[in-house]
Amino acid sequence: MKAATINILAIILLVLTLSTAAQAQIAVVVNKNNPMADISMKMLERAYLGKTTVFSDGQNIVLAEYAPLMESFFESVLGMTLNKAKVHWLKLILSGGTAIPPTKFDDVEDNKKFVMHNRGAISFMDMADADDTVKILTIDGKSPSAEDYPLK
Amino acid sequence: MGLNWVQCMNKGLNNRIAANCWAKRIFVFLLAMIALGLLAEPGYAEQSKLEVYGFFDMEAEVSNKDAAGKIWTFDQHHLNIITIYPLDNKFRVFAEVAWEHGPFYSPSEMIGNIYLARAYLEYKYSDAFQLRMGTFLTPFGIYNERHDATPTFISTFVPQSVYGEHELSFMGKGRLFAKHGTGVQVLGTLSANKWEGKYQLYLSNGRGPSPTERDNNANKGIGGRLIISLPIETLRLGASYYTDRNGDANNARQNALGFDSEFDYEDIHLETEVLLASLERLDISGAPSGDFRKISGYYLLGAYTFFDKLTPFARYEWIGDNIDKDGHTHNATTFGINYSITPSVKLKNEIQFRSEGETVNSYQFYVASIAVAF
Repeated sequence: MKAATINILAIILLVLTLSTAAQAQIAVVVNKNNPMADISMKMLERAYLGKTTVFSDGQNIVLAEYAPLMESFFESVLGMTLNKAKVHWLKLILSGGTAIPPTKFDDVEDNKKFVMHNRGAISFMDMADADDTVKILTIDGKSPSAEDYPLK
Repeated sequence: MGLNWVQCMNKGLNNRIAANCWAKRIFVFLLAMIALGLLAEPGYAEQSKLEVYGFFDMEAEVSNKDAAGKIWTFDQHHLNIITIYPLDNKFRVFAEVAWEHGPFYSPSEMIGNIYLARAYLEYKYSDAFQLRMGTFLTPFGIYNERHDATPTFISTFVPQSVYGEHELSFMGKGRLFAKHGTGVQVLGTLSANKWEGKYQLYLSNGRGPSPTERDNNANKGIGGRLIISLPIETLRLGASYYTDRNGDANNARQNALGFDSEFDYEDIHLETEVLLASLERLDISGAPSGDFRKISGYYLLGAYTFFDKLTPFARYEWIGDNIDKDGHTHNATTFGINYSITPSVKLKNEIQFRSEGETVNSYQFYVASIAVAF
């Protein structure tokens, strides 16, 4: 009986953890010195596909990606699975494309440091982790607190 | 160092001494590139460090074409190393060195190939305008700039109807457009609303006995490529053109025009290419005659990916080496299945049913391969 109760509690905890992860709100962040305040979904897609390599002020885009949220970010922004996105980048690099593939971070602090130290950096992370060391962008004019924010 | 490169060129292109000379120079060049990378700012600084990429593959193949083909064999086909060194936000140096068929060079024997596939300085003014100077892969069709990067191919081999060697009117066999060019190239991407266009225009030495160093005629290799991505983002259309005079064959004119299309929807991938080429014939004295032999080819490929891992595919291709005459057509039908162990590691299996005109009976060719990108 005791073991069964522990098992049930463990399952409930697991479900709660998974549902929290699934509901993670993704913040798109840039360096604090980047004049940009808003980015369109189209521009975000083009940047992470390596089709756009410079910001409107001429600064080179330096892509970063946060491993725990990559799958949901690529699904939402690129409409691609992680595998397809990787294959896309392989084709781009090996055919001489000018874009530099994203630098991958497993640790959110490393991700933030990278954005903080790279003037052209753009990345994504859980909204809860985005502090004042980075600048949070609105997407198509919608702030992360908006009901219809596209990366919820 | 510069003098040494010239010395290698002076040794010619096809002898062992020259090959050894090139191998040593390329090794030193790679070491220098890696040293530059090690000296670059580490850590989180603005990206200006050496990047290294590449690919490797190995094949096992057998065919029933002839006695030699019936002996199944392994082939360590490619090991290519790509180095990219960004000098600053605008300039970068891109280089690719290829080792093919497990090369081994010694004074007494030479196996496989080692060569510089690409080496250029690139200047980026914006996404809409970039300039490349050096040796580049000719922007032609879906595959030529992907070159030999088999981890990114569906089949183990690029379609021979478009990228293979075909009978030339004046000498042996050759590609219908130059694989590489040495010269300058402008390229860029333009977008408006949901339309997007990528253009590439170039001027190179064209083909000849020493295309990377000395052109032997004033008629350069000229060409371009245009890719349009439609608002239906799953469809891309491309067109390519290349023309030069072949310095190996009394400067006979060669033209190639290609059209291609790719369609991706969910797990479906379709692609097709058409090639139309014309080769100038030589007259009795060996001079270009002004009369052209026409060649055309095409292929169709369809693939479907299950569970992001398993990709069965089929391809049909046809080539008419000389559409003015009968009996010069070849075709090949390929059925295959690939398994992606990871996005960078692919296991491939395929069988090709080939028919080569009237001179060679139909035969089957089987190849299994493993291809890795890194």
